[in-house]
Amino acid sequence: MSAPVLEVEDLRVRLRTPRGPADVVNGLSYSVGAGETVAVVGESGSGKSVSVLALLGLLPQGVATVTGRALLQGEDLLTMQPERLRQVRGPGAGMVFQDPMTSLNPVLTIGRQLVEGIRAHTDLDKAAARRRAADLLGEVGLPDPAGTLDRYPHELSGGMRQRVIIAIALSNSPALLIADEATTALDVTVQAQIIDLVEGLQAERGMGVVWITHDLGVVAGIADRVLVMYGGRCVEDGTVDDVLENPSHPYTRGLLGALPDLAQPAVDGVVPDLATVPGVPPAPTDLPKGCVFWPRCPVRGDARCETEQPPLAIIGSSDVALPHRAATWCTESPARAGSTAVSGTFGTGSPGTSGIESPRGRLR
Amino acid sequence: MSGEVLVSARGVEVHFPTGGRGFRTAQAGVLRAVDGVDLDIYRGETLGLVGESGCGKSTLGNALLRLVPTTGGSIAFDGTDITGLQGRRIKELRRRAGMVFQDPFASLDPRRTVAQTVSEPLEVHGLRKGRDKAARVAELLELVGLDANVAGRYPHEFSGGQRQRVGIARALAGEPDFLVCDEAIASLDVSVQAQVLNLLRRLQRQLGLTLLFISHDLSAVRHISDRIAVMYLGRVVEIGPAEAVGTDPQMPYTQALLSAVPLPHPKLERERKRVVLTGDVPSPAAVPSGCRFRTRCPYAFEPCDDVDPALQPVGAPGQQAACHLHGVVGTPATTPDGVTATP
Repeated sequence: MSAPVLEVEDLRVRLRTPRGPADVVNGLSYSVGAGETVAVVGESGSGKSVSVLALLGLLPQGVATVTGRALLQGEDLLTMQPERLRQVRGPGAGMVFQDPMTSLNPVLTIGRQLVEGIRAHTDLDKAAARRRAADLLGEVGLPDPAGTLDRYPHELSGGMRQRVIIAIALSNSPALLIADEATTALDVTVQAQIIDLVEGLQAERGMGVVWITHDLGVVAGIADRVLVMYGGRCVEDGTVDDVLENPSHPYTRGLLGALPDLAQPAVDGVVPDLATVPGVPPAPTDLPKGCVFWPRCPVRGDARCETEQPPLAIIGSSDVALPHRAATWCTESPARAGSTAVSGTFGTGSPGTSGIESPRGRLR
Repeated sequence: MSGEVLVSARGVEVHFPTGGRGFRTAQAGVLRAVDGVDLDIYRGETLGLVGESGCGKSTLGNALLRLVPTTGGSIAFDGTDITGLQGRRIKELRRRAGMVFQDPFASLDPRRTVAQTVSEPLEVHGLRKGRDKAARVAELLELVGLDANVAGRYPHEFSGGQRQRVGIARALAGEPDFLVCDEAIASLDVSVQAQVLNLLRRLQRQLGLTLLFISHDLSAVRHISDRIAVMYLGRVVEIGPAEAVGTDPQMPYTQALLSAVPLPHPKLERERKRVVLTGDVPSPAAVPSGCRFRTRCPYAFEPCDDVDPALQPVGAPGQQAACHLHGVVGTPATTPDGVTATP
């Protein structure tokens, strides 16, 4: 693989809140190669959105303290002058936000919003920028691109608006596309269209993509690499197959077990109860000492769980391009004896019966 | 699940007038939110109702509880037609049929304690007084997995999942037979969703409730339901046992919907053949002629333009689909002869 498009090292974000400092992101490191899709997964409050907003300098100044390094094509985004950062947003990194209903300006035409971005970063005149805008709308699959330029956001459906937003994000051919819950507000059939679109465009342009979502199903379809966040930390990462087929961190397993699964067959006509993770995620103002997951963890198989923070350590083979890593004290041994053995022992030593009740069965 | 029908809808229509511009009262058209739904919900079953936004699933749920007026058809609750109920009779319906709402942040009054919220149905229906009332509130809270001593707290002190439990306790206060859960888990995180889904399943079994579980999330619906009904543009287009609809759907729309649901299995996802629908759902104010799905259907053929398909038995026992691929059945009766096809 060539040099990564984005390299994040030890990213930390602390927010000032009325309840005291909140450590929203605590030492996040990852890299995104050209043509690679990295999915960042987590529940609300896990710090996944804040971690990318911080990269592009989109957090309010004076409230957020961001430290670490984030190299976008070799340049550190976090120490950049505001003027340079403005130049980078666009040709360097494009962003697609969650809600297509609110991320377009309702009083400006689609054309005006597209042309604005194009002209800010190129010398094209208005007419040329408009032609470019129409081409882009065609590329994202909108019918009648030229006509759409003169329409207002309220005249378009949610799926069409999200296509417009993707067109805006792509208007300056970014090396990196960041999609923050880009399909969450859409219906599943439209979501499938948008995912197809992004995958197609990525294959064409060789962009790196950071896809933030809470939906593990979407992750399975789109990601090369997965990073699971909890309490502002990466608790597990690796290739999509490693993390989803062979999860190692108790939180990842809990999350997968809690997911109703269409592919799961009924047993005697009855679908078994879902495994649940008791409790709720910790508040970033009050993170537990030790392993960030231990208050909810059904395993707690190690004396260090409550006191010492587990490092992100390689599990399984270390001489692969993308090692599978997890931050937990609870893996039996570095070289695990296959997933079945782990599933079998998983849950023993559980402090209560309300823990993760059943290991997730693999199917088909 | 018994064979007894608790809620029965026949040709139910909910049409909304879409006004002209501004305050002019002249009607410009009709929005057909629910447009001719026949549906039987059996006592003790969980019926899942799925569909995309705007398909009319919430409006149907509201109509079954008389929360929106119907413009046509009839709805029977436990044998009584409720479309014309008034006064005391409708109050009794409110006790026997409850609702769990989508947003636990908006459906609880922030200025009332949990005890006040949960006990309101008890007061309205004169079910419990004084010490009995407090005991019943404690019982309800424990039933939904909350500690009885949270009764004095306010909604802002709870997380989303806990609030949803309070909402469920309130819905259960009047000992209803029938509960409509409208996107009751949509705003919750995955791990909390699982807790609430398990709770609903347990309550359904424990109390013998009849549940209508409305959701856009097919995986969740498949998980909790005995039967699934699929809605598209104001109509039920397929209905049947959850297992049959979930694994062997007979209507092209259901097939597309199922194939669009992302599964958390990378290998399966890569091999999967997707039916990607083109275009968007037509507006319920301009419903296509004939089959409503024909504008997006990959299999649309001649009769789909003019014959409005009716539900017909197909596939597994109890499964029905409204699709001409299984033989042209529907209105108008000017059906071309001998047109049959297999999917």
